[in-house]
Amino acid sequence: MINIDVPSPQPAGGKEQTEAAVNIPEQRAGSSDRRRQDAGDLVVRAGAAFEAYRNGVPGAIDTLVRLVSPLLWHTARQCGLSPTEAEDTVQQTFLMLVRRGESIADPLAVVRWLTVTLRRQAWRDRSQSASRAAEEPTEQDLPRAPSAEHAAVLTDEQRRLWAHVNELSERCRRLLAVIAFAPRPDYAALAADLQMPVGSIGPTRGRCLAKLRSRLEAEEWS
Amino acid sequence: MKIQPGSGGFGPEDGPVPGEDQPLDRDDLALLADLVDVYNAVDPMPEILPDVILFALEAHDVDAELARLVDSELELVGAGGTRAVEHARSVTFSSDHLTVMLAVHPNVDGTVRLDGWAAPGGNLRAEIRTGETTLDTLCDADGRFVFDEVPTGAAQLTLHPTEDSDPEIRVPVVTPAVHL
Repeated sequence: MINIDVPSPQPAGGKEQTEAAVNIPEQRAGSSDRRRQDAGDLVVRAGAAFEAYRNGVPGAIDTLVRLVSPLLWHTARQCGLSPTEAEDTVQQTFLMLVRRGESIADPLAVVRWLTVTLRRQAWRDRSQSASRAAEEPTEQDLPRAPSAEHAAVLTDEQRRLWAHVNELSERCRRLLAVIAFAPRPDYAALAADLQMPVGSIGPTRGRCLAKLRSRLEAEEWS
Repeated sequence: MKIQPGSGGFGPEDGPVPGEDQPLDRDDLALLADLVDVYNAVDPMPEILPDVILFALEAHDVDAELARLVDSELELVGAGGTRAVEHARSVTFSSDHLTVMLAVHPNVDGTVRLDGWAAPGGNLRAEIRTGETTLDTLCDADGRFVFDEVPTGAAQLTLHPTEDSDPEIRVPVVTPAVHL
C-alpha cells in the first residue's frame, strides 16, 4: 500500500526552493485586458505549482489547492451542485489528481484537467442520484436572487449587475458564469452541460454579453 | 431564438468552434470580471475548504476505496465552533462496498462524540484521523462504533477490513475529510 504524503520541509533551503519553483514566470507586459491576464496567470501559476508538486517540492500542493479551489467551487455550483455536493466534488477532484495526475503530460494542462474531471464527476453524480436523474439544474440549485444577506455584501453597482444578470435566460446566466470563472473553458463539456451545440457557444456568449450590456446601458439612460 | 439541444459526442477533434477565437473585448472582460466579484460575494466558496482538502491529501492512501458524501448536516460555512450546536448532526458516506453513517454529538468539553454505523460493517476497524490525533476502534458485529471524544476540526474516517469482517471489503474505505 502506498501512502502519498505531502513532503515535509527539508532542513536546508526548502523554503527558498518552494518559492522559486512555484514562482510565476514574468507577466507578459503591455496587456490592457485585466481579465484575460488573470485567467492566463492562473493557468501558468497552477501549472508551475503542479510541476513543483510532481518534483516533490514541499508546499507546492498547498499552492495548487488554494489557487484552483475557488474556480472549481464555482464551476461545481454552475453545474447545479448544492454547496455540500460542491465541497465534496472539489475534494474528490483533487484526490483524483493525486491518484491519476501522472497522466497529465503538460503541467500547464492541470487547470483544464481539474475542471474537466470535476464536470465529469458532477455529471456522474447527477445521473446516479435517483431523485435528480436527468434533471436540468433547477432555479433553486443556482444562486439567484440576492437575499437580504447577499444584498448587504454587494455594492449598489454590483446589485444592479446581479439584478440584470438574473433577468437573462438560465442558459445565458450559466454560460456567462462559466466563462467568467473558467479561463479556458472546455467547449465540448460546456456544450453538453448547457445542452447546446458546441458551435453555438461562441455566438451565444456574444449575444448574452450584448444583452446584458444593453440592459445596463438602458438603465443608465433612463 | 431556439437553441437546439446538443447531440453530444463533440470533441476537440471536431475542429474549431465558431467564435471561440473571437477575442472578448475590453468591455466584455471588465464585465466578466465584475461578474466574478458578484458571484464571489453572493456564493462564496467556504473559506475553510482548501484546508479541508489539504488535510485529506496529507495522508491519502491511493489504494483505498473512496467513499462519497451522500448526505450531510455538517456545514463548512461558519464551522469552527463559532456557534453552539445543540443537536446531533449526521453525515452519510457511501462507497462501492460500504455505507457509513455518523452522528455527531457535541460534548460539554468542546469535543464531539461520534456514533457510527457501517453496513456491511461488522468487525471492521474504524479509524478517525484529526489534526491532533488518530483514534481507532473496532466495529461490533452489527457495524456500530463509537468515538467518545474527538477534537473538532478537520477529520477523516477510514474503515479497515479485518479477518472477521465482510470478505467483500478487501481494501480500506476512506471517507472525504469533513469539518466536525
